[in-house]
Amino acid sequence: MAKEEKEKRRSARRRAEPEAQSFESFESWSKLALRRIWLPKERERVRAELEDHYLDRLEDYQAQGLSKDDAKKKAVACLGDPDETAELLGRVHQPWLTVLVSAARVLIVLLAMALLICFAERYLSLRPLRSLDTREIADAGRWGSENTERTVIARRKGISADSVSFGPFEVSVEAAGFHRDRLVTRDARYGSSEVSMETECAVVLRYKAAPWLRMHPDVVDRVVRVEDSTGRSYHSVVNLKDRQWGEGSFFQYTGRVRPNSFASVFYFDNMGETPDWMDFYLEQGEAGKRLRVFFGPWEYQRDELEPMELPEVLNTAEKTEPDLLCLGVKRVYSLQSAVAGAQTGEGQALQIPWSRRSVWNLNRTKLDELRRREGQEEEELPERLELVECAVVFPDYPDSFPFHPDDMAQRLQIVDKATGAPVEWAFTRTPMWYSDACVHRLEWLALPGSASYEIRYTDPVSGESRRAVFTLGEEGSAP
Amino acid sequence: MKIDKSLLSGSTGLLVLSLLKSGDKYGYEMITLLEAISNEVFQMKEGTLYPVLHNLEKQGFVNAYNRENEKGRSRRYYHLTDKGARQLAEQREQWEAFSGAVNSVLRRALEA
Repeated sequence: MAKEEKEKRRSARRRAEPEAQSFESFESWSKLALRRIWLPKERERVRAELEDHYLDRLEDYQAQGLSKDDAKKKAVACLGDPDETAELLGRVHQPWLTVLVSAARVLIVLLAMALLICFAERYLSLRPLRSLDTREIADAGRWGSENTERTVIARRKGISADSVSFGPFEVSVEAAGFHRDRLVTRDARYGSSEVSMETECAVVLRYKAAPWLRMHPDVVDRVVRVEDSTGRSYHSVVNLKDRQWGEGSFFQYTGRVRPNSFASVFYFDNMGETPDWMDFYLEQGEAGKRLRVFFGPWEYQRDELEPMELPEVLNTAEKTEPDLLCLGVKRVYSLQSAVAGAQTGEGQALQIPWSRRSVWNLNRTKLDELRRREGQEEEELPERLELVECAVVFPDYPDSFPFHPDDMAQRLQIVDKATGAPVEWAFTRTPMWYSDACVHRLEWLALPGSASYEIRYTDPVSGESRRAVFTLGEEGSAP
Repeated sequence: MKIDKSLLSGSTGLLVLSLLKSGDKYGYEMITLLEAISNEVFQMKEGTLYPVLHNLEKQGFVNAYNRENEKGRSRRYYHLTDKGARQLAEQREQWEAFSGAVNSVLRRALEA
């Protein structure tokens, strides 16, 4: 039945295209016979083959004595039914399969090109190999400038390079520098002596992953061990049980800068002697990379750059072949002139510019779920927590308080004014300090029925205590 | 004598493969040779031959290559591959069994 319908359609088409059915020439025949071959290249190849066949036959007929026209007609007739031929050829030269294969090839090439473009920078060095030249070293004078974003020039195995591969990341050193405040006062209590504050060091590593990777900042934490030129080694406070930040430890904070990029800031405090270099060991499983931040024997005294011998530094360091060598900044920033002649010790009080009570409603279901996930035992929790928040200002900082704000925060005590009971637990936010004041923000659990508190600070040198009393919601004052 | 197309259709592949057993050939050569050998019983049209040839090529039974003829025209030759030779042997065996059975049936029917 279907065959009959097909034949009917074919006849109708023949009636509709009478000129195509005359087959006066090979061209008109081949046009019909090859119409089911979709790819032009393939169609042309088959056409050439059939034409060769047709011409052979034409020559044979002419050799047998037929006229050219008769030979043509007979040769075309011998070619057969063009519709039937078209159907048979179409079946053999399956267009869809061929088109699909060709499309797949094109896609593979495009994909390969896209991958090459995405990863060329990562896996191939498109930049010419070169070493750090003298002009760049001379420009190092700008590294310490506050306006310069990058304070580091890096190189890898003798090649100018910014980063090193580490697992799914490209790690680079964004900034590295020392900051050592040297404070000289003429305070009677300190005997006009120089009070050297602890040396701080901050190094910022940048972890950049492939665009489609979504990593958690925890991934890049806890994989770093640090050693310096003096033989000291440092460990993250995250890994320490007591979580004390001090000698032999560093505080690491990792934040997401871009969807696939993290900045990990390492703070080293109370370092004492400034090392010439620090090695950052990135460790994860058996793979490891070493980044050496070379601070060199040079120092900045304010903005003056002392003579440096950077090429020698580089050559010396290269013998140890770190995976990435960076040049950091060792800078001494002196506050001497700012505080010289300051007189302190007259007992200026602490100030409490504001205080408030805040209420936290706890989502117990979420907390219980969190506990279960972390394997903690369940315990009774109130539905809501009441917190006291306040700001504590040391108004004559740093004149009278020549200590690091973090140390000052540790010496703060909070006492319930009504009962005299100390508050055992308080949370201090990162202090902010200015040229003439230092501000701490404290939070603690409100004691039931207590609306008045006292903040105490005891000077570690003189033992003198300073106090401020405040009632919630009101400004505090010295008692 | 005219042969019913349906009798020929199942055996064109076998005929083409057997023609190539004696050496590489091009399409027109195959058609004329087939006519000559079969005393013009098999008059294969181009529209029948070339789809069969292309199908055999696709299956790997024959290879095709171009060579210029004496008049400078490019001509497409077909070559029987090892796989094609094995296929030919197999089809030939089947054909002999089939034709023997048909002959046997016809003989008995005529004798009856």
